[in-house]
Amino acid sequence: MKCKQCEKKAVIRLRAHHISLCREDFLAFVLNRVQRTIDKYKIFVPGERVLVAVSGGKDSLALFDILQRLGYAVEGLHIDMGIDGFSQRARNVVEDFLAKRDAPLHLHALGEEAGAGVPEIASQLQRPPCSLCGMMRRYVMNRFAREKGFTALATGHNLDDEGATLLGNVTSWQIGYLARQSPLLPSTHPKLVTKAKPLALLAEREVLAYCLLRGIEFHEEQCPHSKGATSRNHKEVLNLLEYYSPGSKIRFYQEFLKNQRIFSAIESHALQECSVCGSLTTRETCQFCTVLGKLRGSSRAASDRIGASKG
Amino acid sequence: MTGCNPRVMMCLMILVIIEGREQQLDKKRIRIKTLLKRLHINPETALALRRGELLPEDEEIVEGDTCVIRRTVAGR
Repeated sequence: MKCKQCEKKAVIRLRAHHISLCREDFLAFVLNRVQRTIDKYKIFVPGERVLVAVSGGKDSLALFDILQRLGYAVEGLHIDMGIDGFSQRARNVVEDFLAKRDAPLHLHALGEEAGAGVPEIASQLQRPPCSLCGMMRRYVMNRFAREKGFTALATGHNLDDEGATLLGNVTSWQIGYLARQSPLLPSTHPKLVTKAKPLALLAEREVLAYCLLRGIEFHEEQCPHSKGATSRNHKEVLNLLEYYSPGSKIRFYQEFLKNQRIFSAIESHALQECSVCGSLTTRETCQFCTVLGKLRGSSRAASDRIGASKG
Repeated sequence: MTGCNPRVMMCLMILVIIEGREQQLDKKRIRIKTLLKRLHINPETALALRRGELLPEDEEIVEGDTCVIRRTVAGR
């Protein structure tokens, strides 16, 4: 199999694009695709300070590497979610990765703010850890970016992630979510930072190939709480479609984006400032502060019980 | 098969490593595409490597080769 661009030996076949590429041309293809995504959706402007959320996984590290190569001024934010062992290993990978690139890294430990990591909080409040983790990460990322003066926050969501989310939203007809899903979520309020997904048009397999060809060492371990996650089933379904009909994933997502205005007439919830922290929310108190409040309440209740039993 | 050196037997097989688990294939040669099908792995969710180099799906691996299969999502 030969490279379509230069006729050298190909290292990868991209069935969705009807091409095979050698190492150099595949790496160029990835950079070009991300730059085109940025241009098409007007994600960043040259010289903009971009905060990249780096978990240590392949997608976020690939994103950081690509944006740096494309000439954007990127800094990393890593949030330690306090998941036993797993979080520490992820953090080590991120620290090594950014140190090698001499790039700024900001660290935030959830445990230092909330007094506990995600598994403990989930157990105390009897809530699923994944939704709690996602909500708390989004909150911390937006707050951090806003406080430090970043105008955009980039995450490593790839085409498979976006396709899986879309399929999930379609199967349950989450019209509000469908109206907002996009590679770019512009800031609609001074307290909301623009959120961007520059890898949204790259398949997960392409991101993995990019990391392997660039020699990017990423955190491969699966989160111990992610087993059985619905998004993984949605990804499997889409990849099965892709196998039988190459190009299905990208068509599903891009055609949705073209027709998204169908959902835009739906009224969104009015936002107000959280009564505790002042960040934007649809409720009186935001979910993050609600969780922290309940956590503190349950800790106080537990210590009161211990005190009462001792007394 | 008397007198056959088991070490030599090992070398003549194809070794496949998926997420740290090793398995031997009693084949002289096999295409990556066929290998993935045999392992019930959707090629859209995996990449194959030999000596650290990516292999396109029409590439053949032969006896003595070690092939590492990387999944796009770990733990499937």
